[in-house]
Amino acid sequence: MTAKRSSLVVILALLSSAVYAEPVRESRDWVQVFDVGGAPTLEVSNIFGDVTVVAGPPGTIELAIESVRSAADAQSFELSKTRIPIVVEQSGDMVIARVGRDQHDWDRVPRCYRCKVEAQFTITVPVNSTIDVGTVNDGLVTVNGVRGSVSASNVNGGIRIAGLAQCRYIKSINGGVMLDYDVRPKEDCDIETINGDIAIRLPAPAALDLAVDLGNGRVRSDFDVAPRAMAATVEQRSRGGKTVYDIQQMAGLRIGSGGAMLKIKSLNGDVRISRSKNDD
Amino acid sequence: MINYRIIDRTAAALVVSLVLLTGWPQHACSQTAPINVALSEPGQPMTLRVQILSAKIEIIGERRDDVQIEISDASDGGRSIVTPSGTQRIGGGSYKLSATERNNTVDIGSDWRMSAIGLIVRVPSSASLDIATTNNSTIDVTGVTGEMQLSNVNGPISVEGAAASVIAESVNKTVEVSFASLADVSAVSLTSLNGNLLVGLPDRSSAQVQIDTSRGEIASDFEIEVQPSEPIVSRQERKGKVEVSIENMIIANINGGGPVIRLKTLNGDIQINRIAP
Repeated sequence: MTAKRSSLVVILALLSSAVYAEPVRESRDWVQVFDVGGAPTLEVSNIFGDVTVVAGPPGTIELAIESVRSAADAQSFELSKTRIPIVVEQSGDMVIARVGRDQHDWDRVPRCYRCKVEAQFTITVPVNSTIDVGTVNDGLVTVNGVRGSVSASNVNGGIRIAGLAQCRYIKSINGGVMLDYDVRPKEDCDIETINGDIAIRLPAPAALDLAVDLGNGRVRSDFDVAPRAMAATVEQRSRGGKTVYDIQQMAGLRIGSGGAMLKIKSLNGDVRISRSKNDD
Repeated sequence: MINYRIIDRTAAALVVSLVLLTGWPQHACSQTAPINVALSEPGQPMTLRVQILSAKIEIIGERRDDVQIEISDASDGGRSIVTPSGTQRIGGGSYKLSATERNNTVDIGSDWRMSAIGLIVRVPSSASLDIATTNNSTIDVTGVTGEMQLSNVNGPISVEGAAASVIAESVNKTVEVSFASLADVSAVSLTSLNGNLLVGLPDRSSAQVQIDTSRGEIASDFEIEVQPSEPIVSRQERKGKVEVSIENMIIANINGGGPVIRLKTLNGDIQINRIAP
């Protein structure tokens, strides 16, 4: 009986400590400046919050980070610093900023209770930088004036890129994508959304090729298009005693005399190709 | 006096020449290079399964040890783009499908939202088939001697040179199956709701046909001996309900009877054809 009572008291004490544990929250803002060469690379991987990149003077990458770290209790808060660190590092001309660890740790024991790091990144890079930036929740990915190759991703938010010259991939799951080229696209680019609209602005006269794979959306273009023959792609892979051949054919279109290929995929979004505002 | 007939002919010839020179205005049509799928055990029995929502499917049986797939766009440019010059069809189609080989079974399936495609599959002639499609679709099989199960909801089914059991069903279109031989056939079932059923049998074939058409006509190149038969009553009990169905079929023998060929349609005609030797 005594033992039972003791264990009951311990359980109640634990429960009360869990119920009355004070959530912890800490804000931290800082700026870091890195010296880089003429065509540096920037990689940013955020989880909660915006990523904003603007073109600035050559020679430096400047990162401004506004972060809020929170957890259910002090112990979890301390744990979150190793589970969800904010990492900023430089390797030669490459600067990497990341929220969370490089490798996913799926069996997270002990659990980091209600741990969260919200971070707003504002980064100034040299105009010719190559950038690869992304976030997951509660954020927008914005890039302005970067003339190097741009790659951007977002899961539950939009992507807006202005002053674009070239991109490698732009991928969003539930947000819209807006790409505002201020020159003819210089390189092939994959543009994908599941549930967002895709808006592409091009200066006239436009010249590019399009490969289109659309589910339920509509397509509208301010430029006349011509059909373009596309070769189907076949990828072969073997696993677990079976061989799979994935065969894909996209519809091809050409604007003007053709040029860089934009591969556009959307399941439920509309696609709009329009003239740049400067052409109005 | 002007001879209008000559002018008409000249104009027509000019139009035909222009069309031949330039081709009809069309979308950028696309076709993949043939894809050869190797079998795990070449030379052994294999099965081809195809499930595509909308496809014109042609299966060709021939002497080979692998499966060859050719895909083409069979859509009429289902999606359109609005441009300053008006709305244009986006030709060339877009599709995504996969072919998987495992233990001598090849599965071909597609993305559900895919526009119609043309699919030509060349298989070893002894292959077994399990083919299903639904809309804007056809199934054509030639030279395949294995068992086959074919389903096409809104399109026709055609089989030439069958030599084993065939189950073929189309809801709204014609099902036509001709046999090279009935020697290895255990049972055949051709059904349709609104389509005709045509079965072709080699001369001197022996078979038992079970025929059921509610509103169609029945014709046979063979003499048939109608057998006395009674309605087939089936009774099913489930969840407190009793379901009784009565099926009244004509049962008839051709040349004394043989493997059962069941032909059932609601609104279509039934025709049993003799294939000339």
